[in-house]
Amino acid sequence: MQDFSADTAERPESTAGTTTATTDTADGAPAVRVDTDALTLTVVVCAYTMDRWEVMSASLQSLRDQDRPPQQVVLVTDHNSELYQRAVEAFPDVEVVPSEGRPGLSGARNTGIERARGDVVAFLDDDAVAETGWTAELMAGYADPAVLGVGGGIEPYWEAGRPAWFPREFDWVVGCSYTGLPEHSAPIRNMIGANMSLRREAFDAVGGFSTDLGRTGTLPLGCEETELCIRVGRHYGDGVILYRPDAVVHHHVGAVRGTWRYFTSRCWREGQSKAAVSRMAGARAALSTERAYLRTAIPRALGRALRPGGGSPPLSTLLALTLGVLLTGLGYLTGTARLVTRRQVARQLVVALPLVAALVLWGSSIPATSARVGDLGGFGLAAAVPWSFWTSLGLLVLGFTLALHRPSRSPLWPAVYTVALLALQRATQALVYASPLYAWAWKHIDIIDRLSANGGHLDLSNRLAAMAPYDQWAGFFAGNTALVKLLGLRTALSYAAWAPFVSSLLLLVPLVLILGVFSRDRRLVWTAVWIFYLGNWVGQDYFSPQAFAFFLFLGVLALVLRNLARTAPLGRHGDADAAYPLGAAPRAQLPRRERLVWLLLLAPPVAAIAMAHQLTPVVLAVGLMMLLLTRRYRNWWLVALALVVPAAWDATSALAFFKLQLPAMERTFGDLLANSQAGYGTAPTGTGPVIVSWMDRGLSGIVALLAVVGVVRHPSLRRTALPLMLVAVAPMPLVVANSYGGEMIFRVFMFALPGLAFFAAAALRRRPEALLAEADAGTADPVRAASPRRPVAARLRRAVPEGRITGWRSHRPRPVPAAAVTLTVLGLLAAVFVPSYTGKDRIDYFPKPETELVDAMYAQAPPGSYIVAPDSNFPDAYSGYDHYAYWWLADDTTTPLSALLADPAGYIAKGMAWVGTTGHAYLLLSRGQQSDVTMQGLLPPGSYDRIAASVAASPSFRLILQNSDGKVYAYVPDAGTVNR
Amino acid sequence: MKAALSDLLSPYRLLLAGSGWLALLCVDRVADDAPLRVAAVLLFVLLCPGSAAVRALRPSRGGAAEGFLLVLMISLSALVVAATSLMLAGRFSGPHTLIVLAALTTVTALAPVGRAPADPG
Repeated sequence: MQDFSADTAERPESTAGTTTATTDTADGAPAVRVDTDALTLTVVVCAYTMDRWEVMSASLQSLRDQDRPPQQVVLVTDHNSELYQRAVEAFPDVEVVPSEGRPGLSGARNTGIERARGDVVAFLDDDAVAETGWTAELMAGYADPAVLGVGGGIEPYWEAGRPAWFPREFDWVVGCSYTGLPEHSAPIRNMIGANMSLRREAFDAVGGFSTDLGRTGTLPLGCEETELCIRVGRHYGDGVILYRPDAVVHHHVGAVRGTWRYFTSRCWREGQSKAAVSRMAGARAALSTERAYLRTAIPRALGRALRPGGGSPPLSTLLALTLGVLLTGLGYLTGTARLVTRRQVARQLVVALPLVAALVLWGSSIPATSARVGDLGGFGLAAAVPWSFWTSLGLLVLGFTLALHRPSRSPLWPAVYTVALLALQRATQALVYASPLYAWAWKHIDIIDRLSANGGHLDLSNRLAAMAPYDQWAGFFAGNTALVKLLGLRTALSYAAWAPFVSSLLLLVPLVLILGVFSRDRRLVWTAVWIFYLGNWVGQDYFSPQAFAFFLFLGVLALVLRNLARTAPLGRHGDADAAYPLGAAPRAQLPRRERLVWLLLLAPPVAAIAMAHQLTPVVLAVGLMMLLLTRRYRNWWLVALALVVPAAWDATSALAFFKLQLPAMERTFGDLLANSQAGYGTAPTGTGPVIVSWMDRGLSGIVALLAVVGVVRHPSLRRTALPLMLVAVAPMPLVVANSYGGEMIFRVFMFALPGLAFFAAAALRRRPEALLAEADAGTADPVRAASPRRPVAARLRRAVPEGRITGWRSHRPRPVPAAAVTLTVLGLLAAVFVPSYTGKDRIDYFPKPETELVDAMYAQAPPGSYIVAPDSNFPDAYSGYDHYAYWWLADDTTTPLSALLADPAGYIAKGMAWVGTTGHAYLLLSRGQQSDVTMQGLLPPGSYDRIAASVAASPSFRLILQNSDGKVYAYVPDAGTVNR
Repeated sequence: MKAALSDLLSPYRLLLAGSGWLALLCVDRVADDAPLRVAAVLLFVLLCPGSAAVRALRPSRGGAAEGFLLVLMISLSALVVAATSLMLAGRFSGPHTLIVLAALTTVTALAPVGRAPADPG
């Protein structure tokens, strides 16, 4: 006999015999046919009881009588030594083996499969008798190499005669072919266990029958063959399972199986089995055939039963049909419910519990935090939040890591955790503070208030001085003014505090879409999302044109990367890169009309960006121009759109700005030192501010460093995610070009963050092993490109291996170490994020008394008044700004600081003197400015107190308002002159 | 012809076409910052102009997330562009902005849809 012991885990073509002709396959498509004579057959018969000895003997005899006898017959006795002994003696021509698996049909069949040597393994029940043409019919089905399994028809042999009421549609109850199955040779989803066969290599590929299902003794929890067939179908995407009704066996149906009792219990059990299969194989696959059966076979049967004069007694058959469907459905539902309660809920709970605990702890931390915000220190809110906040943050990181490392494809839990993170990060302040953070947010509200009051009259000249650009790029303010009017609000103050949370939440969709273009790996994408949010400490998420424009910027980028890709020739590693487990295949090119549609759809956002912000259109245009370097994203029309729209805006509405600013911009162009100098917190003073400033810089540093590691570690991603890298790098030269009020370096970091986060997340993942082909030899030779034993440096040198990469082999999953790495990195980032993001809240939060003081001052100050303060860091600073003139002492670079500090009161009075005796000038000293100039080091230490003392003692200033948060002085012109 | 007419008169399309005018009615009739007014205005401003544009142009690709992003981006952009343009033209007011958006939405919602070409290229 032929030796079948060699490994045959190849495609069917390689094991099959010679190709002989081309005809039609089972599904009608012409294909190669194979001579099936060369195929060998093993038949496995499983038995568990002596009670069926007679039938079993007949069953084995029917195999001997086959026109095409099988090469091997294996009889497996299922944990019954008496049966085994008797069978060994009685059937010397049969291989009798005891089951080595778990008791039950599946375990016995798996034992048979292990003993099988034939190319094809067929199963025959011990109570079934095959017709003489059975094996020949089965084997003929394998002529098509795509056929993986062939099942045949099963005719019931009723011991006590067929019950008159028993519907043929329910013959599956007794394990037989039923009405509803194809009447001619046709592909089906699954075979019936009593008469089925599969290529042996399929078992090698997907394993045997599941022992979690299957009958144990008489307990008829079946469906194991259904589950196996679904598994095989999944493994071989294009494989076919064929039903050949002419390969007939006769199934012995005992008297007990013809009873109502057996019928109902079997239906119930079948439903439960289906639930189990659904859980293992997915409901769609598990129930596809059943849905079709319910749609067609059952209604037909009902129609037949109801038709007058149709053979069988209609009433009882009708009852059987209805009862059968109901019980099976109920069984399915209870099976699903039971399985869900016991297993899935337990698994979901593991992920849900940290989230619930985190949210409860966070909620409980809010009142405690609110009570402490009145007097924040040098660490801002970070020092004021209680332990429950930190525990909550820790639980979120833990739960997110758990959710991410579960074998699930659903984005639900990572998304829910991300929203919870955003709430903790960016909604806490909205909840604990009575008013919006940041003097800048107040300024933006003041601008909307002005446009609201003056009927939307924009002033495109430079008359408003430092406030002029807000009218020249008014998009964000115009939109909000309209919204405030339409909603019937008094001011945007009511919703501005929630802007950090909302604007960050808006970024989630474009972010996930962008990352998804470059990675099919769910873990990589969501880890990158978290690194983005934990690394984005720069606080440009507040109520601002930048936050709005950044959302549109990321949105445009997402839509461009997803829909405007072009077909480009694959590089040397193109095929391998497309299959890289952490990467993604390049997006396909859309037809010309579709591309045009997307270009049209992108026009409104590009226009809105141009109208709303100075910097973002430049970054967008530069980014898209950088993409021209890649062939895949070379879109000249897109670049033209991104250039022409902002240029048109700059040449009309913002022309006055450029006329004024261009000479200054030319002067500072290329002054790297000046332009990269961060204006915000350049010289932090005091323990808190110094540590916080190290932390925020450290946070940027960690993210950037991780990104570099990611770039080095994954050469394949470096090639496929090149567009992302280019877009991240694109804004960096802007640091040289312009200082943007000392903010440029932070903005550039923010615009680069999506790309940085992607590669930083990749840094946490191991590189899959490359399978290399020798360049000259045609045979593929698996070579470990990144053997764990090889030192890191050598592995990195193999970044571009000499041989061609033919594929990838993922490392054996090690969920615990992988999760530990994610947990550590995200935990560290989260811990550093909180002080980085909220550490300056003493400067940025204005308690109510301070706002009241400022509003009282403006209520007194007549239009044309001169408002003077150490700096502009106080709420409502620009209330009614088109009516006032301002002087911020710390921002004034026209005279040296020493002049101010020598005689503060005299210096300030001199500066106010221009208002004359009829004009009004006010000096405001409040806690926000004190914190700002002191902690940021805007004035030398002690300066603020010196100014305050000097002014208090000077007759040039009269104290007109005072409360717990500050003082307002009115300038007294005459006194000043007398004093001098 | 009959199919085109039934498409034109589909409830979704008609609702979309009228959404802006319903929001305008709310702004006119409902008290300042009342929940109904806030809901009507936000629903219209954030979703409807974008939905109408997306419906009219029918980009072929993209899942639910991408569709939502597109709708939101176009709606917000339309609000910004409409309000800014009205300010530059010296005709700005809240209702004026809403009228412009409502008209735009009606036109795009009722515009005949260009069917996707049978053969790409």
